[in-house]
Amino acid sequence: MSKTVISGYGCISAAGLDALSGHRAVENAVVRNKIFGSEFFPGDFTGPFFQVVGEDLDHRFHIQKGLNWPEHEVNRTIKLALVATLEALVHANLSLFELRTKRVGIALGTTVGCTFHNEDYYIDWRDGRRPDPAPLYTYLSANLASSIQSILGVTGPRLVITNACASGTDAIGVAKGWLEYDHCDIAIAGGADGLSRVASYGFNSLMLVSSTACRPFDVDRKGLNLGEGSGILLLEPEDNVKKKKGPFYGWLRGYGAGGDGHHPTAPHHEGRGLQRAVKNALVDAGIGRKEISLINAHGTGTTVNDLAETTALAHVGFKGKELAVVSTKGATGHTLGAAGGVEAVYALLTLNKGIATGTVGCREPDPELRFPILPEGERFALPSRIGISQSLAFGGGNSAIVIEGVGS
Amino acid sequence: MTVIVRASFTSPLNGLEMPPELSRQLRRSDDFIRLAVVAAHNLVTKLQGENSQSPEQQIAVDGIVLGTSYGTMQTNFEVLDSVVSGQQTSPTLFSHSVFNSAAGYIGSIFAIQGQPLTLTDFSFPFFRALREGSLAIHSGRMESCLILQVETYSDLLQDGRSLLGAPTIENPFRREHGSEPTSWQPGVVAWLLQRGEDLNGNSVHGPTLGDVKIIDTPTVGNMYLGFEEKVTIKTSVKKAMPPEEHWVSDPLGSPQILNTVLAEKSDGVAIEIEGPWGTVEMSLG
Repeated sequence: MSKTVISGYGCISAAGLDALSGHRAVENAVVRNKIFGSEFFPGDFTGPFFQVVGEDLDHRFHIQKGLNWPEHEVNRTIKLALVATLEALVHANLSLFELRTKRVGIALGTTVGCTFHNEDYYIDWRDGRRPDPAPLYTYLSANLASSIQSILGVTGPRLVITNACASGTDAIGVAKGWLEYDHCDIAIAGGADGLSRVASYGFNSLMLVSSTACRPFDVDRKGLNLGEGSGILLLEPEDNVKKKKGPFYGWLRGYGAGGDGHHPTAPHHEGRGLQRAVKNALVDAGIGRKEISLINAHGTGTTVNDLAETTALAHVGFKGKELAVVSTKGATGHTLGAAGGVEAVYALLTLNKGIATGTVGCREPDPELRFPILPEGERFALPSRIGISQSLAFGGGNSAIVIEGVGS
Repeated sequence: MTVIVRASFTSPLNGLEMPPELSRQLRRSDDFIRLAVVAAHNLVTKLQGENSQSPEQQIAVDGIVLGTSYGTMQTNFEVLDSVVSGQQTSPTLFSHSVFNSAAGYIGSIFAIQGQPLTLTDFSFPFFRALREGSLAIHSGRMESCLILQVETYSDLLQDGRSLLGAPTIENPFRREHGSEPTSWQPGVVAWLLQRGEDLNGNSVHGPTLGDVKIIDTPTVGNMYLGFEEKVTIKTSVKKAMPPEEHWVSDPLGSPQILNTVLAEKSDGVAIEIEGPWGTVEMSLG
């Protein structure tokens, strides 16, 4: 079975409008967020959001030739996914024309992008008025994978995974399976999510949102901040890439998933499901934990998640001095369904650079954590090019991918 | 390696029998979660019963793949109502509005520590779940898994279908153009897939699931409102028999037909499902 190669990558987040600029912002601990109040929260609560700004997304599509742009409105989640996908194609040196000659698998994670949140329609319907049907038609045309498939004009297997915060990582893992079993020739995999008032009201109701910039793993962490974005990996069998002498940036070595089987919403205190996911990913990759030099953690900045996650790492048996554990959410916010994709891209770029930079927002790691974290301002020379990007989901799902970089 | 269908279950919401042992755990859940958990309970209980009779075929459920077209739509609108009213949202309601909440409940109630996977598509969600579950077993990621499609729709959606009427674009699969759309009934269809060989390498009894092939056709979204699919069943053995054709008009219809096929057919069957949004080809037996 041919290895799975990462032949392209794309990423858009509050940290940067493309993968490299976003990664640079993470390395330099640049925090670009904006405080919102009643736009996103009930009552007097205010808090930072990591919004993608400074770009007219529509402009990128107008200058991209060959897209099958639909007549109905396209939602923000789809636009973010498309921006990241088009960037991935550029890195892969692959034109739309060439892409359309292949069986293209599309596996994307989302949480906001699958729901009907049009407030005007809902209010009209609730109050007994006849709503303008356009938003309902737009919703029915807005399945994320179906939309990307249609806009790109490609055919092949498609899937939208709605596993909450692990969606993007799971999508990447599912796509790996498709390639290994020859369901497609190339796969577009990752996740996307736009900002949502429903999500912000919801996380606020769970008292998981911080009113200040999030500080993953920090002793004074007070919760998460929401963000938006998309991260996409282009995956192909290594044999195909070698045959066409195309560029590639690393390998997707392994994927593993596990459920906590503990509680419908709260994570297992020892991260039981994450332990299983990481172990399964290492087995799938055919490597031992000593070969891992970087873990891009879920690291949301909530008390419970950060503790459970680091406890899980200790139980798996990683040794603190041999690798760097970081979270990038201090620079991007928690992008929900996009997180797995965004973090896979940033992990790949870090592995290729060979140096991990500390967790944005973590100035003093919580001494209660069971595993050491690389704090902001510190750097760690990676002893290998192999790392893990992992995600813990609402509902007890956990997933991990093993990525190997090619080096600079 | 083969994948077999070990057990199946289906129920509408109206008439769902709640096992007493689940009432405490589900006392605050919504219909979507209730349907998913009761279906899982039914299949897990069947499996445990069979395990006790055949210890050599003992197997635990270690994965969940749940597909849905509309997800937790009704609960989502209850959260949206608090948003448009500027009021505090109920944390329980929000938790339940997340699409994978049902898989989370199944995992925690039945202590399933394998992968939970929730997916959504307006077309063929059950069959996409079936394809992923089968692939997970073939790849060794799971030994067995629950496959479910759950739909509870929402009052807004049902009203939208009535209000907006049948799609104006001609649908070659509609038998009666311009007819009123039927009301979709909330419900669940669930299968238990398992590796076809036990720990000793002996075959496990059950119809074999062949490859599930899905071909998607680009379609405009409003076609889903006037839902219609054709299910064609061809018996492998009695090739002279004409194929059976069934027309279904709601998103759970095709998997419900397949449940009947599982119950009634002992010979191998080839199944084709056609809709304006594509086709599914698969085999059982």
